[in-house]
Amino acid sequence: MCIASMKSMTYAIKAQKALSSNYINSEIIKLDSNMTKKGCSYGVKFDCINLQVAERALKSYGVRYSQIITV
Amino acid sequence: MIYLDNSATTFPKPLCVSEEIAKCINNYCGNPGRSSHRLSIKSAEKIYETRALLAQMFNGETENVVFTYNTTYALNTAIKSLMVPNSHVLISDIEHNSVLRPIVKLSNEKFCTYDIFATNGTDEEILFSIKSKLKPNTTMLACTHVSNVGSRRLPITKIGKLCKENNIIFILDAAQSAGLYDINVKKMNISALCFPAHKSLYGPQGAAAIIYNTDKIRSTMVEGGTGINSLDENMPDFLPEMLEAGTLSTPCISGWCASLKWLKSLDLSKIRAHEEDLYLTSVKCLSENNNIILYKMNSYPGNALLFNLKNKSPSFVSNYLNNNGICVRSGFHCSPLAHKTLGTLNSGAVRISFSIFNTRNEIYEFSKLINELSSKK
Repeated sequence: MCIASMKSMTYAIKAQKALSSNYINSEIIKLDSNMTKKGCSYGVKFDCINLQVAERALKSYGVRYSQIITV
Repeated sequence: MIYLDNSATTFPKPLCVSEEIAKCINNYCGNPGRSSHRLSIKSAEKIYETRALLAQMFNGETENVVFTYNTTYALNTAIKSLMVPNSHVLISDIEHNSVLRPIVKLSNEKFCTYDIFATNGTDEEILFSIKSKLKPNTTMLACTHVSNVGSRRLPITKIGKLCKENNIIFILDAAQSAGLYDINVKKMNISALCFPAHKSLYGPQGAAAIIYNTDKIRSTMVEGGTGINSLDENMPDFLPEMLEAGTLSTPCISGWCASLKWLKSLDLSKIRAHEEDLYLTSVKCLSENNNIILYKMNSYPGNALLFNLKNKSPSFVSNYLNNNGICVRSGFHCSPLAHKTLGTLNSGAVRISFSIFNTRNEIYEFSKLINELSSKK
């Protein structure tokens, strides 16, 4: 699975809406502390098979993410 | 009961508001943005939905919608977050205390200086007054869109253009106009739009918003938990969390979400026409009585009208009306500048203000009572 890490819950929901409009199912999760530098952060988890479409969707919706991690 | 104090807060609210608040409290009111469990996510989604509806209504960006508790908090936050030290600020002569008092305080603390521009006259005369007060260090103009005292409406598109041309932050107090008049933060060059849920947007008390349309935010108002970056001692440097320390009022915001969806199904111009009709009906009824002094700030109708009865104090009139089942507001309406401009600073006045739920028959009944009172010694 892939996780796009977001700045906040607001951006995580925005990201989820961007993915959803491109027919990509996703889930908002709280990130493990080893994935964050400053603690308490959120990510959007989706199937890596959709990675390219997801990246395009997030870009077209103006959703900035710090990184996409594969888990 | 006839409720004519809608400029203070609209009443009643559409039923969907209380239904959604109850649903929120009973079914999904987790702490938004603090966890990833279902109740927290559901609350966060409801808040996001409300942000998106507001962004759509005023043509802003969803993540630039910042929630506060009322318009006073919103205006204080907008003013203080965008204030440049040692700068000059302009406000109008009809400002509510929620703009006047923070500016006066900042001025008393030598953080800024300020001047007041005149709003009587044509749009061009208002713009001339603004231009005549501009200084090289003017960085902010904060003003109301529609006065809560008598409905004077400022030419905000032209003021926004002037601000843009002079690189001035434009903060708009839309407490009385949001939900009634078209506002477009991008087209009107509004840097920060402040408005409440509980007036013409028909939401509950306890929620308001700022829509920022600038990246010149210099500081926060309140610091604390945001649900993110908890190991960092500093506040996040991005909206909306940067200016939303502490838990938001999810029940209030969920109720606001319901009222916004209800409003979206209606035609704004028809609501405006209805309230203007009630204003004109009131003017006609009250004008027939020589013992009534009407304070018309404008040649055009609005949704609030000020008057006094000769030889009777405003509080006496409002108490009399209250005892007879009619709610109005007397006094100075937290707007000494506007009352000074209007010439009612010594006495205050009685204000009636309308909503979508008022009817002409209510105005006739109110007028009948006022006429009865004016004939009493």
